[in-house]
Amino acid sequence: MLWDTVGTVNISSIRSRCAKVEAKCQFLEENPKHLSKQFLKSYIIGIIGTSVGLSLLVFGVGDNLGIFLIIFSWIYTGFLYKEIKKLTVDMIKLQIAKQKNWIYNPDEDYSKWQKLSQIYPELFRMGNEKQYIEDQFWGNMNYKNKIFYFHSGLFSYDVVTRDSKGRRHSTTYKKHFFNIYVSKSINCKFILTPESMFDKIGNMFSKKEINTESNRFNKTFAFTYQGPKEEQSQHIVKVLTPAVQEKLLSIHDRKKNPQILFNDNVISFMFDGTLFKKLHTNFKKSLDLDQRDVDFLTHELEDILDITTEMVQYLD
Amino acid sequence: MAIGTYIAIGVGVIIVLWVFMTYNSLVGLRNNAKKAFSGIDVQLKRRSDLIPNLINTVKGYATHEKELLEKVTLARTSIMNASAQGDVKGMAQGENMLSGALKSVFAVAESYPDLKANENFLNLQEQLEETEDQIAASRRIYNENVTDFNNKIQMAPSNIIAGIFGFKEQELFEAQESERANVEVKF
Repeated sequence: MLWDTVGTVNISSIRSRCAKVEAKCQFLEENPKHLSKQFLKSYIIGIIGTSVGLSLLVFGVGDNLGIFLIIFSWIYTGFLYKEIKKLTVDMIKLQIAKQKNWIYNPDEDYSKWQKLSQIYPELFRMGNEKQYIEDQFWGNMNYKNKIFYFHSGLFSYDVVTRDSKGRRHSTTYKKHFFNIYVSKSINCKFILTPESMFDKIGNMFSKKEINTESNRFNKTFAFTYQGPKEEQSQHIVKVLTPAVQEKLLSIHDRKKNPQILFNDNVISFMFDGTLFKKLHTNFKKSLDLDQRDVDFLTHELEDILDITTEMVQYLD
Repeated sequence: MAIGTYIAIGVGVIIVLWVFMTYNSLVGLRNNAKKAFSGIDVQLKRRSDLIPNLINTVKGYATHEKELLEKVTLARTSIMNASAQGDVKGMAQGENMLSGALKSVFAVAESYPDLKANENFLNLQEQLEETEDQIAASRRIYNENVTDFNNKIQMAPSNIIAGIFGFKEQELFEAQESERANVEVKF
């Protein structure tokens, strides 16, 4: 059984979308040298283009054409390299999903983002263009003798601004998230975010609404919740035990800009940047998955589940 | 009024504001340390409440471990007494004794297969282990808060205000070196 944050998981539909990547994996198994040849091809195109362009420049036959050829050949090389790299990364993630018996979908999913932003606007209503979810994993994991269902992915969005001269500036942001389904309801909705400079200045002049036992936790995180404080603080304090506070501080030290949303049966963790910073698997050398990549993802999930199990222990 | 007078008033106002802010900060840190202490207390009480049930369960199977179970009860009583008096060192000492005694109980349980398989015992063991984690975390948080408070009292220039208003250093929640020796249990 699999779980999705906003709907059901249509396994056959996802598998059909992954068919292209699956077919590539199959092809690579039959032709192990193919990937190295593709990378070599991209470099050769760049070198030939540069050589021809330089020759034209040196012999003064066509300066503009020469420059164009040099630039175009390397742009094309870069494009080809990027496409091969993306496919390789997708194949690695697909292999990880297969090994762990999870489902993986590399595609950009705009409708998923729309649904998530309706239910969790605090986390997903960001950016003003090109918002989508990609690199989604669905699966379950046995942690401390309990089965947890999760849905993770990469949220990508653009922030477009215009300067005083009307020129358009676009910046792409990526955040990875883990949504965990918990069998016990938290009975409230609140979000923990790192305290901003404005929060710190505000707290100098007025007492912070909710404080836990830890000084450091109170200085590190800001709370945002809905509903009366007397009611909500009870649920929040129940969830944020000393051990949970320590683990959240540890996550804050290791990950960029952690945001944790608690909403009834779902705990959502979101961090800046992509999940995999560096992959060890190198299909050019060997078609075997490097166990370090699998262990990295498992370790990330276990950290999240460690906090989750601590939080739900005292819930009714 | 001369400019010098305005400057003197300005400096005076700044000093007064600084005194208020430092005093409030010291009070806030002291109260946070007290709050963290009560956090430890809550977890210790939770563990204390589980112990009578544990002793009754073990007694039913390990009838010869009377001395061990008495050590557990003694350590529990010592913590409760120290907590009532707000004696941090006493609580730390009792807590170490109790942790050691409980470890021995669980080690002894390995020799009694029926006890090991008892659902109530397993449930209590899980709850006690989880409470140990919470106690350890609460201790670390308390010690962090107390260190923040003690630093503020000792460092200049807030040590001036601390001295004037009688703020005293607080004790950390830790056992003395001699008390850190393992609790020996004879069977």
